[in-house]
Amino acid sequence: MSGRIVLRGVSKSFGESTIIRSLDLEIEDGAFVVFVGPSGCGKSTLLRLIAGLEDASSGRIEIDGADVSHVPPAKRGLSMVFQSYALYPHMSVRGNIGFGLKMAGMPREVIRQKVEKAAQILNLSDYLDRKPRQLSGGQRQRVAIGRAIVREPKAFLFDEPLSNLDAALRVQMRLEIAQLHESLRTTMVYVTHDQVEAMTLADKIVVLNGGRIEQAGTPLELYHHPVNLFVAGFIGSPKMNFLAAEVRSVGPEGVVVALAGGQEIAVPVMPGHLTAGAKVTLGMRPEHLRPADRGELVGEVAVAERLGGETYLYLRVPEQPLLVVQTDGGNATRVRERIAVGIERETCHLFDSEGRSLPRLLRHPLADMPRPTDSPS
Amino acid sequence: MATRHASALARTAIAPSALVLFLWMIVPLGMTIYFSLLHYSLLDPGNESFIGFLNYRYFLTDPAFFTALFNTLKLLGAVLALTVVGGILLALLLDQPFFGRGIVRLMVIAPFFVMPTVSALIWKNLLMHPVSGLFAWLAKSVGLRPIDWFAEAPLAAISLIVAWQWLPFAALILLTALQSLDQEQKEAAEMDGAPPISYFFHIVLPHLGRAITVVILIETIFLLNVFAEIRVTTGGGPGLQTTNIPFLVYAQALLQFDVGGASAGGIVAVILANIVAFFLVRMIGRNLEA
Amino acid sequence: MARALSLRRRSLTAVVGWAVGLLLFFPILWMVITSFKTELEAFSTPPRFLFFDWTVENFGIVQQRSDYLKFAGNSIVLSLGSTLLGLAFAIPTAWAMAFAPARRTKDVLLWMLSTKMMPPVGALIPVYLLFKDSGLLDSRVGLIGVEFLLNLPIIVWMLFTYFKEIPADILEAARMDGATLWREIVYVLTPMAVPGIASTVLLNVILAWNEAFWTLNLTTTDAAPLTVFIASYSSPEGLFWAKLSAASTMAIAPILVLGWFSQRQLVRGLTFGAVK
Repeated sequence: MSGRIVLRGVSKSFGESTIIRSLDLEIEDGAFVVFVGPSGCGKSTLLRLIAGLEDASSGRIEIDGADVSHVPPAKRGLSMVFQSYALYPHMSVRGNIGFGLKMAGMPREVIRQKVEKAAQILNLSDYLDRKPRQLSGGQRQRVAIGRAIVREPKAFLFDEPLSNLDAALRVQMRLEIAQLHESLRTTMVYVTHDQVEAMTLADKIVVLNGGRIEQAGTPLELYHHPVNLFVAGFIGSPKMNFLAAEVRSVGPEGVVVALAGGQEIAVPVMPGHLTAGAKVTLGMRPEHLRPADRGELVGEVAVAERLGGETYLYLRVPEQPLLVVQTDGGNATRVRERIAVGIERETCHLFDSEGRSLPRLLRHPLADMPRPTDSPS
Repeated sequence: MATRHASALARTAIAPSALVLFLWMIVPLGMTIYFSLLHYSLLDPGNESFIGFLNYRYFLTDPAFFTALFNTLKLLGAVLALTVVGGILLALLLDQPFFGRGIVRLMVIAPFFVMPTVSALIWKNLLMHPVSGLFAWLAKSVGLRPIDWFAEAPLAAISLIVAWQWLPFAALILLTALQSLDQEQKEAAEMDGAPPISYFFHIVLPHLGRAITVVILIETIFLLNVFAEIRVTTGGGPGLQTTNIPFLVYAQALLQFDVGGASAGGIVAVILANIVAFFLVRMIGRNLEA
Repeated sequence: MARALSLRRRSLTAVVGWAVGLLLFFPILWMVITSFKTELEAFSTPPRFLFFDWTVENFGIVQQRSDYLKFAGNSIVLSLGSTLLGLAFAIPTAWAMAFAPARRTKDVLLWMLSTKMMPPVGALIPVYLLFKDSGLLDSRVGLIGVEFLLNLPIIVWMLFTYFKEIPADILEAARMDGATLWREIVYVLTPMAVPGIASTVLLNVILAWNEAFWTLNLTTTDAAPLTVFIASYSSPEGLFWAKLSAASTMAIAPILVLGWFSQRQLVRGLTFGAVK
């Protein structure tokens, strides 16, 4: 039994509006794939298409080699954890977890054993006879997960499961879900709008925007080699700084661009079709900008956000939008001070006038690293 | 949200109800229209003939029709006035916390659940009887002449009875709406130093606007069709003083057995109801945006 | 108001409140008291409120002479019958409208509600004649049919609003758990909708019990419910107030009790959601 999921030419329209345009995607068996993107990008819709809760307007969906495009959800062999947990309020925890098995017609004794085993794994053994309304948010979440696990599906689907939890609980549950994947090795498809969850949990991230896949790849691949402005701005927090620039010259060592203020930087990317004079966008992540005495960018600090471990300085640089610079927590720069920030050419990104990124000359060593926990199968 | 599978099933699920209500609408209405164009009397069966709009001419030019029309509107107006004003006052009262509020609320609600025939007869006999009724006794105790309600002011009597029955409905609706008034709005008004009267007229009343609209609309639908109270107390009289349109049609159909004429009357009643509804909805249409 | 109101203010409100409440409730109270009087006592002045010879003879007389129980039975059969029939039609309809809405669903629902706005006189004659010719006049079956049609829009509407309050994702979870449509309805939807269904039944039993147009016009003796029974006291011979009171008390007592429990349902069912 394999949890390999393949989508070919899948699209979805509701009446006049098209949510998902013809989309192709392959999810390997056992992978943890995260769909991420802004509100309305279609990630939840895509998940529901895989689940069978919606019919695709066109295209094919395959699970474990079989075409399930017209198969109802019950028969696809999947389990789903909903954002609101969707527990059955009139059933006990035991009833909730065992409901799917009851629907499958398993004998009562078997159901009892499986439910108790799942409860044990999830620390719910003491709560089996309680009703959902008597449980806390985290406990309800676990019941929802338990309900999904116990059916031993080919793949798990998670629809923003952590959105309703407070920050501390969210971190804890994130770890538990990661550990769950470790132990079960089942395919997991996870939807979230939180890119931190995406970065920490995923083997592969699929960035969606306006019903289209902008980029799909490992977390670090997306971080170091975003294919366009959208992905570059979406991944990484605080957001990447984007500065308008113009090409001065191209060569085998990269592209030399000039900023509005006249500063010139040589960016190590393949020139592609760029010529001198072309308008481009220079991207720099806040964590790659450092205060430096002779830095190229000079400006006045507008806001200083001190988190203790690090400090974000918002810089007003002439002729540029507000720049975000990440510095060490011990940095004592104050608002209205003028500082200079140095640009690291190796970590700069360059985007053409259409927002496409120019491929780097050197690929980052970690970008293609599989997660250390992936089984070599 | 639904899949194709569910959509087809949905249509079969709605069909029986829709069909049954459609027939309930069309068949009687259609037949009434048909009868209204005939000379058809149960006293003269088998001699039906097509007479076009003659029945309508007779019905609409009959002085009884105008009396009935005015009675209908008078009844409607009186009850609406009593219940809306009374309802607002009751709602304001019940919104205040006081000892035993729950019981008082139950007492206020009770009249709505009494069947119309009981209300009418209890009021007519035990309360309004000019000799032994309670009202008569009360009047005499303070030296006033007791009113013979059903002889001197029959329509007023009926209005009173109907208003008593519908007051709880208005009060309940308005109370529900009142209690949805944002607590924070109340507190903001307090901070602004608004005196109670001005608070009522500028904040409470507009907020209740929609609920009042609903009360008026729904009560109108039912009040245009008051029947049982009339039939059981006055039989439309004395004379025509308590005959409204529904009773007029009923009298023509089941007492005079003039099916043709009564059918025309029935259609007139339907048209009347539609006209009233149309104007009502237009006049206060803004408030009703769902 | 978060502040405590002054004692004087609260006492004043209480006095006014109780006065108003008793005033409005008084006719009912007076009726109940009268049912325990003899006919002579009931008709005599000055009327006595508490200190008279209480008797329960009227209740017995009413049953003996006019067979109250038969009419009560008819009321029960009518109310329950029409409501249950309504449920049978309305549950699938409301389910479809709440969970599988099409573009026209809202229109269909509004149209159904609008059927309640038709003046009954517009249908009186054909229905009466049809019933007469098919022997349905004064029959329980015919009457149940009419009451069913009268209340169906309200039942559909109320169930629709209750179903809409059931979170859609719980039903989807059932689907993911392997439930077919039928099992989804039986194991998940219905248990969650039971309070809503109970409320709907409550309100509609009350409405059917009190309906006084069709019951008065389509029945005489066999199928006549309590509304008609009481109407027969409109022109009786001799003294009848105490008996009328006793009969009325018995006729309205069950509904009064039910009604006290159904205030919220009343608002929901009869204002079509326009007031929350």
